[in-house]
Amino acid sequence: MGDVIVADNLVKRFTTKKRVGLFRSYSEIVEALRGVSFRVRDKEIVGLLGPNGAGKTTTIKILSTLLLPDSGSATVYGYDVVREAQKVRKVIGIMLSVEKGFYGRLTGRENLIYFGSLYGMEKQELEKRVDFLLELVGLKELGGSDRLYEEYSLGMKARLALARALLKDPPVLLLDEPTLGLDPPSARRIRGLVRELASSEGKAVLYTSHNMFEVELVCDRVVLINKGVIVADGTPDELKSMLPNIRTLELHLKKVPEGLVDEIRSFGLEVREPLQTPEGLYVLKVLARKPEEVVDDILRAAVSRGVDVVRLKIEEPTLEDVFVYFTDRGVKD
Amino acid sequence: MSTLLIEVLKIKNLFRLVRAEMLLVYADFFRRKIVMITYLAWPYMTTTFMLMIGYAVGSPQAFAERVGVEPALFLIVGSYLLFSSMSVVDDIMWRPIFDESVGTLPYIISSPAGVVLHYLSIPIPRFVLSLVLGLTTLFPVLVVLRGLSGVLIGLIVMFISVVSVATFVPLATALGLGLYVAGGENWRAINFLRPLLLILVGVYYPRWLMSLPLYIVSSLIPPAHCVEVVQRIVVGLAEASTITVSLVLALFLGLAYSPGMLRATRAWELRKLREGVKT
Ligand SMILES: Nc1ncnc2c1ncn2[C@@H]1O[C@H](COP(=O)(O)OP(=O)(O)OP(=O)(O)O)[C@@H](O)[C@H]1O
Ligand SMILES: [Mg+2]
Repeated sequence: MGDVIVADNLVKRFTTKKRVGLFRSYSEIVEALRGVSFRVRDKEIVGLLGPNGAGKTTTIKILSTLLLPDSGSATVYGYDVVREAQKVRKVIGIMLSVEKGFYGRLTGRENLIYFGSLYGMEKQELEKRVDFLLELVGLKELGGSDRLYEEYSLGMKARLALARALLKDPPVLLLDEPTLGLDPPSARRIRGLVRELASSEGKAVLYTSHNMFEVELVCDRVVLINKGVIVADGTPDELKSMLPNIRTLELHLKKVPEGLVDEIRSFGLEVREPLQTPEGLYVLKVLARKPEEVVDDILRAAVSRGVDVVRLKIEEPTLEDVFVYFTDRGVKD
Repeated sequence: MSTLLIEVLKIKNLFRLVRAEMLLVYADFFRRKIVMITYLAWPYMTTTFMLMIGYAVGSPQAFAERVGVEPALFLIVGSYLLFSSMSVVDDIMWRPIFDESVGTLPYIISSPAGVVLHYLSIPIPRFVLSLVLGLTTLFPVLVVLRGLSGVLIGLIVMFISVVSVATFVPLATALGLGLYVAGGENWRAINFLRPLLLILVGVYYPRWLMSLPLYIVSSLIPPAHCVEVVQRIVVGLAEASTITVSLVLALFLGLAYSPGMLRATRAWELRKLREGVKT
């Protein structure tokens, strides 16, 4: 199976009412999605990254068969999300909210049993699975399995929500901001589990977030969405390389020998005139799109001339730079 | 109609759903003692109040002359039937609002079982509870008032309450979800439907003494016929033929409203999918 999730030109408009006083109101159309297309392949974790109101939840809901698109289409595991919703429902595990979605007067275990029954699982298999999952997400070690959901901390609620998504051991996971508001240990546990599930069990995961740091940690590929449009799609590295600003390689040298600058320039790189630091070191700045590809050549050129490289620094653009670059551009459009 | 049959044939799924619903309802019931106590005391309380009001404005003899039976018996049986039927309306009308507010609705709608089957399963646990309530309410009172024959009456009343609830679910679902589709979810809709049904079902007043227009409207509500049967039995006006006709009418109405239930459920689901199930 190649593409597990295919979204093709999804469009969704919501009609909302603007209220003016008690009696007057007029309709307003919100374009939540304006032609969203992307793919998620087998065993792949794709991060759907975007600012508030970008359309992440709307996309997840359409793929979860909880919202009908106005136009465009999407398939999950080969099934159409509108025409074959029932089949889609059998192959997805969903997590739509960290802080709600369970019955407060049932324990974590009972909640899982409840939803497992809804999903048509047999009693014995279900009980075993629930026990396994409570252990897996770390609710057992937190002593949460048999406590009422209404007494749960946010971290415990999130873990239970992930456990529910895994009840049927589905090949596809759709997770909407699964670590929103969690403390580092809980967030780490969830991220670790998601990575583990993709690599060892081959699950395909769509993971929304507006946390760049997290997406870079978890996802193989990032789809950037802004104002209902996909503005970029690629691995974190690919996205960074799409930035026009060239990165800087900074070399700190004891001296700058004859010919070194010329040789580096001969690689087709731009080199700034060396500067001297108070400690008597020379700083050579080389501008490159991909410094890591030329760093070997530069070091060899320096060493062959008998200079010690005291320090070497590459200024990396972050995914945040990518995010800001693409979402700002979206605003200007 | 045939689609309803298909749904009902998924009996194994239904069984699973009912078990899940029982877990949900009983956890609350048994863990909160106060819920349990008020529940069991409710019919006694209503009957007491009704009797107190009754004694204040008239005499029990007047009631007995008019209706043909002592008021305590009439009212306790009525309260019981009302309670079992109303809890069905409450369950069905309340759950969509509740599930939406606690965020469980998306997981229910996206479960392969389907919403129709889910709605069939929702009232069952509470109805089973109401049978227990029958044991604690009906039998003590009936035995005190009627001796051993009270046990028989109690059994008949309980059997008829099963028919009443079963035939009521389609109408209650069609009305409840239909109202939500037309006007958006609002828990006040419950307050609107409840007293209306309460009057029409004719629990506190014998149906055969209703005015004609009221009688006709109430004839469209399945439990009204069941209530009438029970009232006739209690009063001693029962004939095998009238009982049969009433029960057959109730069953017929239950079936007749089933397509409406299916349509309302589908329309409600579609509405949710159009505007997006809230998370
Ligand atoms: N049911 C609805 N009715 C009206 N407008 C809606 C509805 N659901 C979403 N929207 C609007 O659609 C747009 C996209 O919302 P969506 O929830 O998909 O954003 P998001 O990317 O998930 O944002 P966040 O990071 O805040 O969760 C927003 O402008 C939102 O106000
Ligand atoms: Mg969102």
